[in-house]
Amino acid sequence: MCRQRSRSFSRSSIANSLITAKPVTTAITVKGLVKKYRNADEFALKGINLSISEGTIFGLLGPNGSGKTTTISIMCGLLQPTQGEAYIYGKDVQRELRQVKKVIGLVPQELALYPTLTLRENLRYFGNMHGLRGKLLRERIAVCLQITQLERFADRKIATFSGGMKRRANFIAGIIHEPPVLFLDEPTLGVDPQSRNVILETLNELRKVGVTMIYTTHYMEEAQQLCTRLGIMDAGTVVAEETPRKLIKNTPGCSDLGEVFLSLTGRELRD
Amino acid sequence: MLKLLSSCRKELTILYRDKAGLAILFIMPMALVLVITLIQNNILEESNRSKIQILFINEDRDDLGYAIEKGLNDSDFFEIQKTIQGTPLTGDSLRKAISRGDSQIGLIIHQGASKAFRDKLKGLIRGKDQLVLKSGKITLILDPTIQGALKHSIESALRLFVQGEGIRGLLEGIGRISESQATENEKELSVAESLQLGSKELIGIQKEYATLNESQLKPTVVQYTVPAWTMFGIFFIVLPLSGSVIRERQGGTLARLFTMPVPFATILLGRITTYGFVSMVQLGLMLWVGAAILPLFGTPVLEMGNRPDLIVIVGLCAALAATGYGLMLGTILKSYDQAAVFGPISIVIAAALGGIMIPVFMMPKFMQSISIFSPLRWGHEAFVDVFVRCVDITALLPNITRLLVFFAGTLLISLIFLFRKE
Repeated sequence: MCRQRSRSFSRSSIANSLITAKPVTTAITVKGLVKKYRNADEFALKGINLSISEGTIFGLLGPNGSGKTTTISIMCGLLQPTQGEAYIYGKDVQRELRQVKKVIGLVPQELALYPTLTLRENLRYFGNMHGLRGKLLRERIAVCLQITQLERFADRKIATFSGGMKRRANFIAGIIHEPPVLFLDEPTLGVDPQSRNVILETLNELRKVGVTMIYTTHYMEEAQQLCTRLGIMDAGTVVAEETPRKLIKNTPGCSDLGEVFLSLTGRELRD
Repeated sequence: MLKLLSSCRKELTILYRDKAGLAILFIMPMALVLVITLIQNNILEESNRSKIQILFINEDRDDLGYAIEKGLNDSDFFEIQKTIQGTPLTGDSLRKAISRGDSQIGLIIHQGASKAFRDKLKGLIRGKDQLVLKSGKITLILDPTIQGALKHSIESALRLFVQGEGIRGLLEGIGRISESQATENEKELSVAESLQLGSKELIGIQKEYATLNESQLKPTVVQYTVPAWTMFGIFFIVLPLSGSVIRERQGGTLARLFTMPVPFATILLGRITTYGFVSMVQLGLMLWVGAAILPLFGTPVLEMGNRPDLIVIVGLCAALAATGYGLMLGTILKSYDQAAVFGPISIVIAAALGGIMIPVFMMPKFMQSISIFSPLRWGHEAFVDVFVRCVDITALLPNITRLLVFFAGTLLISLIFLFRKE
């Protein structure tokens, strides 16, 4: 089943052109990212540095308010950093946003779909916004519906979907254009194990075809299972960055990622 | 009881927390009451009445003319204006000012009016003539866009006023010639008045409508009312539009769109085009009601004139202004609830200020000065120009320019708020 699905994905022509034009192996670079929101007393980000290789699923973990969503928003061009730079395949997110937008996809935390439109209408609209049309768009929609097992519901309004179906719909709306770089902000939040499994399987398939992903989650076992590399954030800084295995190994007294997380970020509540 | 109290406390707390929503909830109806009452107060209340301006030319320069002029000057209802931008009025400039809509009422006491009336009066006293000064010596010029009932009220009030002041002036004039004769005349007149005044004018007044061209349509109530409420209807697009923007902002779809390789201008243009189209459909439906449905209930048919292109142009400009306003509310307001209260009430207020419910010239002076800023007034005036005055595009330019500037301004504000928030 998984192999069948994997044949459905391919590296997009945009990604191919970018990658073949410049032999870049680093997909995402973040240098000294600082962010202070208006009217805020504290900095949301205090100098983030990241270098993420192509084909990596980079898990960005951290307690609430640690700066994960802010970091992703800056990388997507949704927010201006107070200081610092972010690059996607060598393109400056602030100065070359138009080119950056061609190679990124976003699966936001919110269910960012039009509830009164059907799933197919939503996918068609977002596909059109990425310049997809005709047969290619129909094929992409068919693939996305198939991998998330939503074919039967394609012509139903999103408002009638269950929570898990909405999450899966939200997910495929972010990958309809097969982006080489994908940002996922808690894509499995509040979904049942079956839906979560579908999403995680699909992410693994995407990684195999070279898609680079930044993935935030609060589910440690999910991050340990899925991510090839992890960055743990706390209070606007990256306190640790390694592969899941090395993180566990290098943190004394910890046998799993959950313990590592608590050890690095502390046990006090973050509100 | 505990559960009931707890439910009430929860609802009150939710209401209290949405301070902007609460402010809108209370302030907007207060503003509505304030504006509507102030506007209507002028019509319904005797005191504090603002005077209706009358362009006045006294070519007579004799008893009748002076008496009417003095009477108008002293009255609580009317005030006269004898110049335009410092230049004394002429029959031509008076008609042009009214035909342009700058003023609504004009009165010309023609040369020889007093003499003609005196001659008639003498004839009456001798028992050889009827005491009616035939029309042609006093001309009342009206703006064709004044609504029916109001037009008749003003016209009747002015006619009665002219009768009274004119007769009094003439009698005084005759009285100066012969005190005893005047007394006789008064007696005769009081008899004549009691016999005729209730049903017949003693001084004939010729009425005419000021027009810019010959093709002017008949100023029926339909001709005036349908375009006025069409403007109101077009602006109600604000509610679904602002709601759509708020939902897109809050639901995250706007953020998702911002990460896509599509210029924001395209998204914006898509929305403006769609809602502009819906507004035009609204316009078409309203006009269809005026042309086809209302006549079934016995009203005159709404006549479109021979310039449908101008109707479309005004409609488009009004639709753009409404769309800009909807986008602005959608970006400034924080919730759909706020938009649901603020949007419709602000439109009703703008409509009231715009002269859709009560003509602007009937409002108190300070309300008239506020009404200049109502986009519904600009659209309303432009529609009336097309539907009643049958003007050409140049006459429409000031109002459609205002509508377009309003659209540009609201669009700019929307963009500023949107990018600050997002």
